[in-house]
Amino acid sequence: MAEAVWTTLALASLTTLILLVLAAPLGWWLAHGRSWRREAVAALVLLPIVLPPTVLGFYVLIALGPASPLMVLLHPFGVRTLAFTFWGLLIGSVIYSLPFAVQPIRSAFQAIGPRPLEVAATLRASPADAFFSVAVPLARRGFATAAVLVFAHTVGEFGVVLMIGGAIPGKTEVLSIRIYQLVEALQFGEAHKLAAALVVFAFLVLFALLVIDRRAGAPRP
Amino acid sequence: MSGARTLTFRLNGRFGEFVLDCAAEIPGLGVTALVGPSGSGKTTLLRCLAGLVRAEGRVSVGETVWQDERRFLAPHRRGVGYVFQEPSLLPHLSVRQNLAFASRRAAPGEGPSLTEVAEMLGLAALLERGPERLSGGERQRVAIARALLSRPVVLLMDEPLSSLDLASKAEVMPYLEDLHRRLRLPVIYVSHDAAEVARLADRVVRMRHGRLGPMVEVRPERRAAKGPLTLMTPGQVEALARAALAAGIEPAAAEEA
Repeated sequence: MAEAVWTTLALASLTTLILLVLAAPLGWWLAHGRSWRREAVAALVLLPIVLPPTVLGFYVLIALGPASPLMVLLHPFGVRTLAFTFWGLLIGSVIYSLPFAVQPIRSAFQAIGPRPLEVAATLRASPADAFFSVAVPLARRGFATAAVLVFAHTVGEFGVVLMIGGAIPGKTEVLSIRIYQLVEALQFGEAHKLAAALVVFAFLVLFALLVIDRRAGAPRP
Repeated sequence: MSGARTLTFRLNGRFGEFVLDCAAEIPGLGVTALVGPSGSGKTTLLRCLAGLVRAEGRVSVGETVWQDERRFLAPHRRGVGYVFQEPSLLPHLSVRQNLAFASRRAAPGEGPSLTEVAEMLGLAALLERGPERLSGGERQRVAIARALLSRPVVLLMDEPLSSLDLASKAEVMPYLEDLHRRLRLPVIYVSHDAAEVARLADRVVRMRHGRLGPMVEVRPERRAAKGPLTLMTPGQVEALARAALAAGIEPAAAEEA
């Protein structure tokens, strides 16, 4: 069971880290303008919200299998497949939680408005400088929301993980899958403990989110 | 800071229904007031000069070309100081950090230090505050100090007092007059308040439907007497306004004759 907790935490932390880095430029680009191209990308980013996890998991599984063109590229490096590995799971999680990172960051960037960036430009800050010294700090609430949502969403994921991971203890068996297997084996006592722990966790996460929201609304000390 | 340089521009642009078509040579010293009714394009012209908005044409300061047919310098490479109409402090930074944002990125060269500029604009006691704990007048003073600390080669001020109440205007005005005496760079000051123009401007240009009128010098002795704006009755303000507008628009030579 400790293994499942560890795998879950590692997966959720890494997914959060990767998505914050990935969603910052993507959210920035999506926040500026409403061209066809941008809306197409925005729709693509939102897909994981509406698709059944099995569909997503199925395609990721195929993409990570030994025959996929993606994996063929990695064959020279001694990697034949990422299916049923922790790294495969990580890739699936990143795609699955992408909308939960991009949406809050995109809205936070949009909420800044053009003025602070114009101010930065007239004070000789280059666009990259202004991005890091003005846009990111002003969008910090969006980043905090994204981090909490992604972490929680990854902990709570089941379908994708089941499709890609294969529930190998110590490698790809996360908590949600562990509970499923405990129930199948009629070990209700164990299942209860884990399930209750996840309920408490989910509550704390949502509570934290609301607190972030409240603090952002209050004036600075 | 190198000697004062003339700001020369010729700009054409279409922004929806609005057409901007103007050219001028702004002398390298003193305050040039840009007056005109709202919607005449004053802000658009300033934004084009700063490079925040693209218009066709040519802009140069002294020997340096900011834009012509072939190139367009991004705003952060132009060295414009810009004071926006509503105080636009970076909300995540304290007063000191707002000022340091500018001084850290300032052009290399000589110039007053952060402390000196803060002193000049009466901000020494406010440095550790956040922008949300400042009055409107204080915020605008910080914005002006910040613009100066970036060591601009041209200072553009877009109705810096118009969002303030009368008391705050009266509070900021003496600082502007003080700066006027010290600054050695071209300043364009947009306003439609004739009293402000009368007290600050060395010359006045009128803008109408995106076009500039002739530039008119305001002789120093004709500038309005200094005094707190709040002590004037509305009638006096109006009288001053009329006198100032007249001073700005009519050629000085015609009046001497």
